[in-house]
Amino acid sequence: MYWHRVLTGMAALFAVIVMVFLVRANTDLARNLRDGRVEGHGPQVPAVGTLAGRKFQDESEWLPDDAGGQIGVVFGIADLGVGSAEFWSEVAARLRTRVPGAQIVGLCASEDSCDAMIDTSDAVTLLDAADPALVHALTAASRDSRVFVFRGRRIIAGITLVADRERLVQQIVAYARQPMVGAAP
Amino acid sequence: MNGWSRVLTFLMVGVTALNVAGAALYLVLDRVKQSKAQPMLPNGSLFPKFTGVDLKGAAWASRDVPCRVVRITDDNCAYCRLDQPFYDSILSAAADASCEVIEMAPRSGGIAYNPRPGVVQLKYVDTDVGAAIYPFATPQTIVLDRNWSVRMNRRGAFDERSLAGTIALLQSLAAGGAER
Repeated sequence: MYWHRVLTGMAALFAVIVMVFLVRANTDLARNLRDGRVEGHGPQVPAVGTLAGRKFQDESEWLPDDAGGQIGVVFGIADLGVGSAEFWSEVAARLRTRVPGAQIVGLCASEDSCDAMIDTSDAVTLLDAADPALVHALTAASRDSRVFVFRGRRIIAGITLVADRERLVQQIVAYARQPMVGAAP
Repeated sequence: MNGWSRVLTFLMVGVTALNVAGAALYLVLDRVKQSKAQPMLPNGSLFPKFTGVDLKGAAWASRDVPCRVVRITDDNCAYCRLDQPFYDSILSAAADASCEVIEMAPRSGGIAYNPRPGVVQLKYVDTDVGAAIYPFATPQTIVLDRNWSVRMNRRGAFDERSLAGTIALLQSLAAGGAER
């Protein structure tokens, strides 16, 4: 009878350990799904290729300056459903009062969507083409109202847009205050 | 069986049931993850008429051609190197069929500049194609007809059979795409 209890107890303990493992695995998987992360590209940073593209209208190349690790936000525009011209203009203005030189970069879903944002071109860098992986990642993120925060040439986070502009700016500023880790790929 | 044994037995059965449920949930979520991470355009679906910028910075737009081969590749991809002899055969068949070949990599600079007639190497693409492809799967070969309809979408390296099928498809598209 004694051994029966010991074995039953051990089996129960083992089952609990397995359950904890499965619950954690499921939680991580659900979080990765929510954040649009791609397996094999690190637990924190979504796979986005290279931060590079072509600017709308002047057709010059856009590539963030790696030196200094300037903070920025890159997002999909209009047809992709993330923010409006007025929204991003205000976010850019508020952000730059606290982080001078912060970049706000929008990838146009079409030429029309770039035209709709043209009034913001002083505040927002508009791209009409970009790295294939970045385009893919932004398109997927935009469906969930998510944008990417970058520092230098490295994406450091994907964040969900909130209507409260001040709160969004505070989130970005918090990333700007974090120490930089590693170099650009 | 006394009280404690019953409690432990029920606990074990309950926890085992939870484990089974957890494993089932894991499988379901994994399937969802795969379907989200790897969208694939099936044959017959319409591929976006996309534009881009080539490795030299020139704007690119497709011409009216009988077929297009979109190749997602990467110089650092071992399977892409393994697949190169097969891909060379595809390039040759595409040239014979007057098809456009559009190469792109999952990151800017992922392919070295290698000019060949009828082949464009894109550095940047527009949003339309970015939404339609899964650029992290390399190598990936997509054959489009004159009307941008997907006729073949293959992930991974070719084998003899799929190579023969793709070459036959390109020949058919060059001849007017009667075979569908």
